Amino acid sequence: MNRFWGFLFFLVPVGGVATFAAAPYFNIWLPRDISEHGHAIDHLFFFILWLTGVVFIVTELVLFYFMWKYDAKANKKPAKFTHGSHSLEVVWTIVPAVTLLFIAIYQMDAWASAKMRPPLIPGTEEMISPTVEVTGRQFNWDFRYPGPDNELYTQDDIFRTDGKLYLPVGEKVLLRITSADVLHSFFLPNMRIKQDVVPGMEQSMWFKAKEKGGYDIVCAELCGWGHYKMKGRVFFLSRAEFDEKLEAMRLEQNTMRVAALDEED
Amino acid sequence: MNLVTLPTGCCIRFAALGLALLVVAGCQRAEQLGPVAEASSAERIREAFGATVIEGVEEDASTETVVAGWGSLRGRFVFEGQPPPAESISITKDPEYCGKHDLKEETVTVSADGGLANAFVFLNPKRGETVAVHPDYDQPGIKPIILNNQGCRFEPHALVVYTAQPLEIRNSDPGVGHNTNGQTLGKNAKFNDMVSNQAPVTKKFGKSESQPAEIACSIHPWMKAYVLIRENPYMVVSTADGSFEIKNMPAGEHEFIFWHEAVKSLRGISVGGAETSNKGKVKLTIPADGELDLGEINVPSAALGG
Amino acid sequence: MLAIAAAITLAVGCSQSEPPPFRLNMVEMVSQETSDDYQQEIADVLGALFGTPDEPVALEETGLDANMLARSAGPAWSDEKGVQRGLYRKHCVHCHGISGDGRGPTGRFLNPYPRDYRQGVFKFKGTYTANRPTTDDLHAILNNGIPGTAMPAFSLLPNSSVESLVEYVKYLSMRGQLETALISYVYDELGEDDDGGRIPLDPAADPEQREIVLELLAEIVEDWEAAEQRTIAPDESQIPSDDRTPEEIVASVAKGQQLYHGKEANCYTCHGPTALGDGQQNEWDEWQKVQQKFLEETNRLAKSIQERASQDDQDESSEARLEEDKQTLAKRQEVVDTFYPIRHAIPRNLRQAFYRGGQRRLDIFWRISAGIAGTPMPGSGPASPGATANLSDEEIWNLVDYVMSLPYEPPSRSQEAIVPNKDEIF
Repeated sequence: MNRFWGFLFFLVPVGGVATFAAAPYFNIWLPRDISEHGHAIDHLFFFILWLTGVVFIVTELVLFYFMWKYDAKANKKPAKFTHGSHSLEVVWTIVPAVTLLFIAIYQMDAWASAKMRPPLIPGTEEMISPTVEVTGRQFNWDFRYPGPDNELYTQDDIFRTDGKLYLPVGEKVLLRITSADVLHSFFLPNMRIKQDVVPGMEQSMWFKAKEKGGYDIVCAELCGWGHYKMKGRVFFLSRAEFDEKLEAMRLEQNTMRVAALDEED
Repeated sequence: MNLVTLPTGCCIRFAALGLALLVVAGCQRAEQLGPVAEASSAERIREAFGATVIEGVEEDASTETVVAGWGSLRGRFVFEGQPPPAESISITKDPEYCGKHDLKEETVTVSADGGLANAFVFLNPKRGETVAVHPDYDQPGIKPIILNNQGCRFEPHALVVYTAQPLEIRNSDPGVGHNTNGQTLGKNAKFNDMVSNQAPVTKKFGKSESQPAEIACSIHPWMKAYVLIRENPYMVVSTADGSFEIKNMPAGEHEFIFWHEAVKSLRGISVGGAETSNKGKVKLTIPADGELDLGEINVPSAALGG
Repeated sequence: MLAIAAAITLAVGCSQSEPPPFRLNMVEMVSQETSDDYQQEIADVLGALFGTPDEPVALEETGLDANMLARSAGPAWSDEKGVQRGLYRKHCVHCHGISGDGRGPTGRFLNPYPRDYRQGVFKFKGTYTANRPTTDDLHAILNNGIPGTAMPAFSLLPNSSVESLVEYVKYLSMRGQLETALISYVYDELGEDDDGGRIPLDPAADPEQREIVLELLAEIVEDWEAAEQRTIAPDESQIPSDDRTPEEIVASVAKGQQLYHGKEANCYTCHGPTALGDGQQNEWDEWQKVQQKFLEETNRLAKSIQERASQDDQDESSEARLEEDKQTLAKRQEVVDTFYPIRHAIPRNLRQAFYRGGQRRLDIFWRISAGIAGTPMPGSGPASPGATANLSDEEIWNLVDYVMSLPYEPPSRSQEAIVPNKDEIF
């Protein structure tokens, strides 16, 4: 190999750093975080990014250095055979192991708060009642709200199949996620949270949104040929607006009359 | 500078084979049947239509067709060969009631002396031709034609409906639910109605269907009837002994269609010296003030798909 | 080697495939024994009046909006302003097919199969059985999808896109209906007769044929336009009030249960006494029935040919007929080979809490009153404005109450795995 190839390998860490540095300016970066606990996920992301990034750059630079210095054309000394270095092997086993162990322990809290500490009714061990049941089917998200009695699976439940989910902002909400057929994953990028659903299993997901607005719902587990277009939209409304919206949806579900002629065009 | 040397031998061959397979697989399209519109012909036709504007439908200048006289048509269908044995229907619904009636397949119904029942004979006028209707057919207070759900079968099994007459669908099976499914109608409004014991369902049709349509019951899927709806009354279904008669037809040469549910168009049947075409059509001349007696019309079992 | 591999890949990948053409309804063509010449002529007339998938044509007589069609037709791409075009190909074609026949590449793997628009029959609508759906009905299906099937919701598309797609569906439906009408016209009035003469279908050359084709089209368009006025409006005096007492609701549900198991409505007979949809599963919907009948007739023809071929003494005309029938059989078999597995129409399981055609009480009312077009589900309400009905509106609302209470009855609830002495377990 000659120095040209060595130089090419040097471009890899250079290119990597340049891409990451430039990405935010091209809007290719993390989606806007509007959740209460999203910062924990982002923090972990950046921590691991920096850690692995630094190690990556150092490793690549070292690789480049050796390719450059010991290039066959420039360095005529024959290579010396070595039996390896036992201490080096030990070092570069223990250091990464310790690092990984550190990361594993460091993230435990973020994992637990997203997956193991559901919001409880104050003073009890019970989860708060779900705000909505989300059912993934090929290739649509269907929603079921508990209705005025605040209990799911009763007759006043409100069904929506148009892919638009409404939730109150500024409150801890609990979602029940189920699948109607195959594996799906309910992913809210702006909430930094996703949950795979296994058919037959009922999963829960909880979060608190900090800002109003409409954000994406996407499917994050390959579920068939339509996986790419299994999208929805989640709208965070103030509690008052949310209650109003639920009431409007309930009335619509109870429609017994054809829309009056003067309301149609 | 040296290029990285490629592995030789079997690896290369496999790679080439894989690539070839990918190319072949990717290039195949599923076989599609039927022709595709030819662009220049379509263009030519489109230009022709571009020049046409839909005017209002012009009333026919001559509403009074001069009729040379009235005659009638009669005949008798005779089944040639061994009639197929009537198979029993397995009753999957309401067996306590329907099972009592010993129901049999009615696709080919032949009487003891060989008469073929439920065959249709109907006039096929040209498009736009006004067919003179004898006053006997258009009397006021015209009675409806009755299609009855009775004994878990349709009575009658084959019928003709003149658009001037309403069709009354009844359910005479006490305590048994029937729905009458007429979703195979082409020109007339399709229907699929529950029929109760208390009140019949009345239908009025306005357009001619080109052939008899199959009426079914969804609850009792073995039930079938064949209904021909036409804007003129010159049509008939052969009775149990195979005979049929159409009275008071305008005299002259007309085209008739012969039809049977087993094969749709009855083709290759010898009728009045001619043979029915592959669409069951044949031209017959109705004499004024007389009768065209076709005599015995032999229907070989091959003609009914046997 | 690398160069050769690259060249092959480039050659394959870079060749532009031709734009897909509309295909014909071969089941109708072959069952009506339309000859190849007539098939080509019909294809040309349809091409003239409706254009191609890339370049649709909407005659003024159809009442279709050319701009809306243009947005849905053609290959999928977005213009400089980011407006999506080729909407049908982007969202619908892989299931519903380029001609709207429900036989797109993924159609085969779906249960139920995607809708075939070509008969102009749609299941979930608010009009009487005989009528077409209204624009609002189709819009509602696109907005809400159909839960329980693979039809997703498209409410996240801009409203103009959804309207454009509705227009395109109507366009495909009208095209399919005209095709069937032309096939019948050719069979009944033109068509080869035994004397060998053939009147070609050429509206360009024959003004009378042109008139007739326009008449056939006008009938189809009239049906679609008339449908807009045919939405079933429940009788105001029989609509239950919004503030019923719990006792009134319970009474209504009880009445509905009686009707369900009774002999006027006969719901139990297909939906099952358990309401699980297991009462009767041996019927077909109209789309499958056409194929089933075609298959049965083909098999019957094959059997008849077999029997006749084995007979020794045949006269000339029988031999000729046998040869003809063999050719017909070959054509029919070609079409049968393209069928997807034919499936029965399964009555709905009413203990699921969601409904395919809409979740509103009005939607359930429409299903019971008009039935579901194209399926064995009959209507118990009036079949047209003013017709006599099997059940009164009030009785239908009772049934609506009963049906909507079914998913919440104790038998519908999953049994919890709770042991009776759970308080004593620590």
